[in-house]
Amino acid sequence: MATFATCPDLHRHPSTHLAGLAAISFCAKDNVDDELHGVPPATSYIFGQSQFLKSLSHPNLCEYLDVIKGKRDRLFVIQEHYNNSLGLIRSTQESDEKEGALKGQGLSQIRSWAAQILDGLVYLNTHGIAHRTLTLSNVLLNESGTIKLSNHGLYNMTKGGSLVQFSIGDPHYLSPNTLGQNYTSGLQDYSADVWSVGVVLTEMFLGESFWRKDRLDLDELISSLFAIRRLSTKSRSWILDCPESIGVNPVVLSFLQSGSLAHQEGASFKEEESELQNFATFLRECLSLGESNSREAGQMRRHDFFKSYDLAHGISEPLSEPALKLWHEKPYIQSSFLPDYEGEVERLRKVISEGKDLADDLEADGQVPNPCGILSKLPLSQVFYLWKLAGGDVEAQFRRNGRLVGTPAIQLLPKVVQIAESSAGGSREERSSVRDIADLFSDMTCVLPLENLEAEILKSIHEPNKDQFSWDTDYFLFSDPDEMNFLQGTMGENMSKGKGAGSSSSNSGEDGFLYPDSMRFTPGTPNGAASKLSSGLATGFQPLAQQPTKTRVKVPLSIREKDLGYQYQRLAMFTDLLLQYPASRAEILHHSKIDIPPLLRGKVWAAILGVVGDYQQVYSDFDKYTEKSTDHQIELDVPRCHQYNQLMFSPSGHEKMKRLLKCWVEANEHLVYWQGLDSCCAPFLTLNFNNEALAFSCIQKFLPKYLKDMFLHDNSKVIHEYLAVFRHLLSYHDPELSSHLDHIRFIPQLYAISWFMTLFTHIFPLDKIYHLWDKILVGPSSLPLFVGIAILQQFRQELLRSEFNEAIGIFSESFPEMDIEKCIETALAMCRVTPPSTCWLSYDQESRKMRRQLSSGGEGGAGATVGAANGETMPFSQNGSLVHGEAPSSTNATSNKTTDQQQPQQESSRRSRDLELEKRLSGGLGLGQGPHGGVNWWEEPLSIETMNEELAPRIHRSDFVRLRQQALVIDIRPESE
Amino acid sequence: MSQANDAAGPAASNMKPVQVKLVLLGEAAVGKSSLVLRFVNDEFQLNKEPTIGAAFLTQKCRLEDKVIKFEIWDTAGQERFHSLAPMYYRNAQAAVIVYDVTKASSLEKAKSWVKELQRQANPNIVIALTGNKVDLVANRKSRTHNDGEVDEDGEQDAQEIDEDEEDDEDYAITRQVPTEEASAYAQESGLLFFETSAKNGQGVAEVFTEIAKKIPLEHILSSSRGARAGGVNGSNGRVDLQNGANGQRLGGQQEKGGCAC
Ligand SMILES: Nc1nc2c(ncn2[C@@H]2O[C@H](COP(=O)(O)OP(=O)(O)O)[C@@H](O)[C@H]2O)c(=O)[nH]1
Ligand SMILES: [Mg+2]
Repeated sequence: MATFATCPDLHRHPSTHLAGLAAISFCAKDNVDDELHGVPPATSYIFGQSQFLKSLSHPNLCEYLDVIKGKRDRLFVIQEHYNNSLGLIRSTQESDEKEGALKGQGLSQIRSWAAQILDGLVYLNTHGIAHRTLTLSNVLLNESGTIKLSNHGLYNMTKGGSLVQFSIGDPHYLSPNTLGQNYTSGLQDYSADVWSVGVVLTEMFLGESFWRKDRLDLDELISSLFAIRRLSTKSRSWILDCPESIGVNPVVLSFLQSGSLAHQEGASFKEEESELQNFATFLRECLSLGESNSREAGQMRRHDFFKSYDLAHGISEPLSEPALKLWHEKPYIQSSFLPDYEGEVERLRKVISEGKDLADDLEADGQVPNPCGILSKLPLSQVFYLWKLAGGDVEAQFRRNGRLVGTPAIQLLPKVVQIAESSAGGSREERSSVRDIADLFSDMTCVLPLENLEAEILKSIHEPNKDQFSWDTDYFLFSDPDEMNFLQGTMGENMSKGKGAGSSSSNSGEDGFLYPDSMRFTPGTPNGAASKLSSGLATGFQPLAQQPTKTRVKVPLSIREKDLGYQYQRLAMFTDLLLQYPASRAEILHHSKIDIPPLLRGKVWAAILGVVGDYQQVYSDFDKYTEKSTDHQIELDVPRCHQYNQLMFSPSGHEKMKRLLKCWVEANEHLVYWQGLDSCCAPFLTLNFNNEALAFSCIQKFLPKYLKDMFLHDNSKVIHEYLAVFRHLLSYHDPELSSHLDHIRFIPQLYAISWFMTLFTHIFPLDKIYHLWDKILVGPSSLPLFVGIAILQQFRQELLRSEFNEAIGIFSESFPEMDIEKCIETALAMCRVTPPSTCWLSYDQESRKMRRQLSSGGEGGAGATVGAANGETMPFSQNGSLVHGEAPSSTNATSNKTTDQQQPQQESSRRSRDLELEKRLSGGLGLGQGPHGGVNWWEEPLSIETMNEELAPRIHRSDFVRLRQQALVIDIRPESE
Repeated sequence: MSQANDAAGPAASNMKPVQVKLVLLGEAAVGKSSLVLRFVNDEFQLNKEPTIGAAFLTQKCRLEDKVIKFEIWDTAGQERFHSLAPMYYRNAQAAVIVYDVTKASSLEKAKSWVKELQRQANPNIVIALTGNKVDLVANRKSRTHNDGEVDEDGEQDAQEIDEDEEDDEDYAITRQVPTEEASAYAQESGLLFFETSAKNGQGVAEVFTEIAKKIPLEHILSSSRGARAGGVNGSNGRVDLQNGANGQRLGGQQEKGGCAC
């Protein structure tokens, strides 16, 4: 099974073919007083809690698409929507009745509805949710009559209504048991929904309202409900003992009691007597109260009443578990062709221009138009996302529909309202009083218009605003294929194999290319390199037809991310790629180097990191609940972690983060929790908020690659080496700045620990981190070092002028505003021209491997002649002259001789090399050990102390050979060496 | 906030400020960063991000006829970062050791910091012990505490009310460190003692002015002048690496610049 093949946000369920979008809006309770005592704000609770609803997916439930926090903490909840509902059917029916039509619905129709409603409820219940607002108007129907429950999360997300000031649910459909029920038990009380099902079905069947007309009055109704509850404690079945006076519609009561229809009017009820009886028992069970005979949806679904329905639908066991998932590490999906989007767009354009009139007609009817359109294929979450990109604004839509009419807050003050009343008259007064309540919550949904979206998308694909930005020629430096790292490019096969070892399960060599091959495409030959990339796949595989053209990519990222047409294309492509992941990993990686569509970022990152298999199982296998000594620290840190972010601030965000961190501690026994780890995990959690398991697997892949050993119990060696390398790189790329900073003793230990330990999550807000990590993830593991230098360079002038205090002032506490995109570009550009050996870290796998390969090649005959003069390092500065640092001059040896490096690796020397690295990690090595064990002194890794002493980096001879063409090299070794 | 916290006024602006290196230590989340932020910017951020490594801030304040420039190192609270701490407290002339009055364990941590400083830091270092977050325990009695006085008699009542009203353990606001206990400890160890609230600003400025009073400013002034003449860029804010050639190399020079009385 492909890893993401079953993710609901990548699929469009066929039954949602003509789904629309709609929003409800409400305000949470204002609990400012409680907040003073540390209770989180109600809005934030709801916001966090409601995220989970987005992950629910069932053919009989309307999908939750988003929750938005608007002005003044007003919440907007966006759901899949259909115009038709049981409520609508009933009201048309009522008006038909007046014209003498038949009442009620046929039993088979009722049965089918009942089964679907219960299926939806069963699904909700298994996910711990009670609906509680089941009314006629919340049971929607799609165009083919499939039931779609709506608003099923309202009760749950508001903590049983305790966080809002309006009551949830229509009492006419509410079970008497819910009266005075406190929310903690209410949230778990799934039986109350069954009552509502009973009422809904009764009303639909009989075409009568459940309650007598006089019970429209809420007080009357409530007393009726209480009366029923009292009755139910005394009698075994309140229905049978129910007096007329209690307020239930006599028609309803008589049917419930007798199971036959008292006033048989016309031919409406031709049902068989037994079926009718069966239905009545079913209803009685739905409506039964009291401990012993209350039922949940699951039980009701197994009722005899549904036998014929299940037979007809071939459902033998209605609640069968989904088939066991079979996981493949690397599934092969040969037969699936990636759709040809350009062709699709062409076709649609034609359809649209031809069928313009048709579409207009449909729009006039208020129907969602264009059944052949592109929208009906996109997952609904993407439809909503694109709607927003096209300029859609939920809050504005509410205004347009005449709701949330902004009354200035001051008019809501009691005194002001009174004055207004006396001067402006009654109408004004009415409005302001109505508004107050209606604004808290109105269950009227606000339909979001999608009619024009399709055309907008096509239009924006048609007219890319490419010319607008072409002046920005060097914006995307990396788009030039010739800009490849000239050093890495000539490294040869053995090098690129050494790279990419960061994540164990990844395809080898994929990290070898830093720059997207698509950049080489000229608009005329759009299919060039993709086929090369996909060569690992089946021969029938079609290369991706749709490639962003070079001009497109030159547009700044911020524009691309807001460009409707571009995002549509990217979303469509990445959705398809993700569905086929891991087979499609190479392509995902390839396209991610251009950019990553924000909506799919979580999964794309996971794909880049190479998360495969049953990550859910992995996550659930770890114990996240036993108390640990680190709990205390985690408790302290989580409520302080990226709290400006809505998700991270919400109580469920806190819970998830704690679980995630506890799981990490459990899973990584050799590592420990360092403050800052929470920050590192925040991007993954926020991107996969409904999928902790995926977030966890990403973290497990990410940290070993980019923060290897940073979370060791004693990480000081690791950090100090990292910082030493950082200092060297700075001096390589910017000697002037480097020597100034060194002079004012502005050392990285004082300002950069939090940069690298958290990979910048501690200093940048999450929206910047997403963009930064988009690039870091597809880059080599040394890229963060260059990002660090790029940051310094953005403040270069300031730093050069600064003394220590001012310099450190720039980076302390509130980090200065900076241009992340430019920063990334600078970093990539530097990374490209840096001799790889200057970034070697002893703890980094990639560099270990590389060093091993090089030196084992160089040593050749393992411990052969000492004076083979085949390798050395040297202090080096950018202009190519040798720098005489504080290093002992005897180490400043260079050579311009090369030796053949193609000799086979030798196990023994590799092992000894590992040993050396181990030794270095545990405290560094002395110099001058001589050639014992086949290691020449110049091949010894430097100790951290030595590195700190030298301002400039030493460059391994393997890089040096290639640098020779660019730099002046002076060999100052004594003759003997 | 008291005027002492103001940046140097016109009269003082032409005076050379005395640079005082100060380090904040204490358990995580006791409010070290918040205290500094209150002192430096006179603001408070709820849910301030934890400090990783350390943060550096400066603030000038006037004491009688002198201007003092505090160079403040705000350190990370987690025990693991302990190994970095000497980098920051070496050469410090003052230390503020913070605990949280609602968390008994934080005082224990504070005591261990005192021990470490007395053993390893500059022998003349001025140490202030500061119990933070008093607003949490004070606001049950009255919300009008601005004068730094803590009404000790009221504490018992406050606790009882807390237990009745708070159902959520985490947010129960009970004083766990009685003022007398901490103050007695401070006295016997020769520390300055304060109770503060970074949230409402209570007592924050006093911490720094009292430290300023106790530090032998004249001495610093003369020695740092000497150091400047000697060509070292006289910033006391600089820090030694605990181990590493750089630290050793400059160690001698720093000795001149530091407070060596
Ligand atoms: N009520 C209250 N909360 C505080 C006070 N000082 C800090 N806090 C809170 O305590 C938490 C930790 O503060 P922080 O300054 O980061 O502590 P640090 O780890 O010691 O630097 C934050 O959520 C602050 O908002 C205070 O005086 N009163
Ligand atoms: Mg802090």
